[in-house]
Amino acid sequence: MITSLIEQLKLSVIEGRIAEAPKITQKAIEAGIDLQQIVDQGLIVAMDRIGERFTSGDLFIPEMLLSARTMESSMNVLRPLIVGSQIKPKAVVVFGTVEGDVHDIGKNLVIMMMEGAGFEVHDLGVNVAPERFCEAVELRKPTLCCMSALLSTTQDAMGKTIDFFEKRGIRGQVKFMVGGAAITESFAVEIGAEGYGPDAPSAVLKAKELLAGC
Amino acid sequence: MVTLSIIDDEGRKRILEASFRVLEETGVQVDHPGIFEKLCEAGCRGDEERTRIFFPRGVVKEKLALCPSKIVLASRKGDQMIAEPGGPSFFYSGDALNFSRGKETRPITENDFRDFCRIVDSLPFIQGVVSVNIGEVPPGAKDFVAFRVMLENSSKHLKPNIFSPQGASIIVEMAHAVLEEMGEDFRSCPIITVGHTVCSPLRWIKEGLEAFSRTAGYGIPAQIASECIAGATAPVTLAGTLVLANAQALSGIVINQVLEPGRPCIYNLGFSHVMDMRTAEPTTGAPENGLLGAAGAAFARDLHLPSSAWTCSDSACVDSQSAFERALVGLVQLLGGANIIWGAGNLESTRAISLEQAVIDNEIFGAAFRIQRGIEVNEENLALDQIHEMASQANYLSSDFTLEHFRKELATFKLVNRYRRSVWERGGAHSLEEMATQEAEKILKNWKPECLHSKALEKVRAIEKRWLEKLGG
Repeated sequence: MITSLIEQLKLSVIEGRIAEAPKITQKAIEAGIDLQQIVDQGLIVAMDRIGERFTSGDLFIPEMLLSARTMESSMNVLRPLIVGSQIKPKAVVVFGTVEGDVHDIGKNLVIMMMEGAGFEVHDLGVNVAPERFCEAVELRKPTLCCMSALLSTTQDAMGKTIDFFEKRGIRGQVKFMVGGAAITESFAVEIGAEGYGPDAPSAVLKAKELLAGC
Repeated sequence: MVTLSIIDDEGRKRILEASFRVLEETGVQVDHPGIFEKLCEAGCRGDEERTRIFFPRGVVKEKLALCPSKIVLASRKGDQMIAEPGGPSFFYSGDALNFSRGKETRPITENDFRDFCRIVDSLPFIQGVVSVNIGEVPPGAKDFVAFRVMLENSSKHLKPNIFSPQGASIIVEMAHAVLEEMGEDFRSCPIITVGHTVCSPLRWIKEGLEAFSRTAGYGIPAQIASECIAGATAPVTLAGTLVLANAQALSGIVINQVLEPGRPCIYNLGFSHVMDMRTAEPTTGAPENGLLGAAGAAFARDLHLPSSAWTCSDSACVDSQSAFERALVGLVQLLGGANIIWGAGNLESTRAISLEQAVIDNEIFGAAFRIQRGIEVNEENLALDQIHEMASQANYLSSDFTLEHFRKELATFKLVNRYRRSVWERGGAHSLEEMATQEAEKILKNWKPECLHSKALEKVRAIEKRWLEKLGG
């Protein structure tokens, strides 16, 4: 019974059957299956399988996003029951295109994929001044603050934003991730960002890696 | 001329009708209070929040009627390119951030861009130079410093990038100084085109609107780029992307005609991409880039406007991929009738430029032009007399007829190898990439671009110095 329901849940996530996953989750809860077991053996195993298939080139981004949304639909059933349990809540991220830059295609792609991967993302939009990043971090208490810039003309605003956090004395509250066409890994290191994503899928992987260390 | 039809008349009609509905019912965000008001005065409807404009089709058609369908684009030497629907096509270089050598890239330096401009200046099948982002130049000065480099190193038609409203004004000032020394103005000798890209979906940001606004009133041609990413910033279906792309471009046309009635506008759906669903990268060398560029040219023809597109490659270096993608996409856009096609020398999805790629692209474009020219059939070309005369002898090679016609009839190349192996080996057995490297070095050593008039140069440098000091201070 346990194996069968967890197996069904896993398959529903892998195949992106978004209407079915919450129902199976509910059945699993009613059958008394341990919540941690539902998450670990059902959802996480399913998403690992999806990740492997994406990496090997069998799956494409929209299919991966569908599976992520399916997992999220199951988590929505589980989440109210797991308050106080060992299961981690959603990771919170604030995200914006830096001051002086109004390009948002890359930012929006990464946000789409982060949300698909289960992050709670607060999109600050474009042309975001350091003060606004600070306000958002103080309000939302995120683990990650992500900054995007298309142009080499605007990438300096990333370093300025991090410096602004230092001056406010809240640099230690959040990890920074940067990305965008003009951004390189060495630039990220130079300005003291903890993470860099050369493209949207890598950015999500890097974000997960940074969060694992929290 | 060979032409390629990507979408039939009925299909294009349905797409345009849908675009008009998007303009009327969904509207476009216009992040500029002044232009917002002007659009309302022109008969468009603004929403209560004063952010979104709805464009009645009557207003769109009225403004379209103001656009000249024939646009003159001049070089500094006075050569004129006429861009018009059904007319000839011209290739330009492409915008970039990095300079590619072999398998390495680095941020573009001023010297890199100088070399690139000189290479493009020397190549006969590339008619325009597009600006790039020079890494070592401080923010705020990148657009006008790059423009000065272009002016100094090429006399071809120039397309400066505009990164800020102030940059737009400085570029106009510099170009005006050059034209003044030539005894010309923007209308008599339009040596530059400006432009900006919509933020898809359906938003004109303040910077883009300022770029149009600050360059309006002089007769400077404006390129209205409706750059979508199918599957990311536009529907994944190409028809849906074209609905959105047309709506966005049409809104840009209306904006420019409100700012300057009769302004020459270039209709551009051809910068659109599709998103690669494995890497989340917008493609530039995909078959769909060719289709979208050619379809965009067809819509421009329907609207009696000149068109533009961009052919590039997603390859990270000069290789077979960079050649086949450039050739396929460029050829489809060319045969589709795009008047201006950017991308010569571009690599890495338009992030890089390469001297070698520019040299190879010149060969590709030469071949593409030959295909576009097609097969001319007339009494003389049928060569009946020749055939009678040579009935029993195969010496067409030495005939006057061949001598008279071969240069026009057959494409010739500078770099591609057509020698047999033994001869090729004796010549050093060079690949096309190696030949291109040698050719680029030769051009840089020998090519002398037509210099700016000394007074013009002095003025341009003085403008640059003044603004650099202002920004530095």
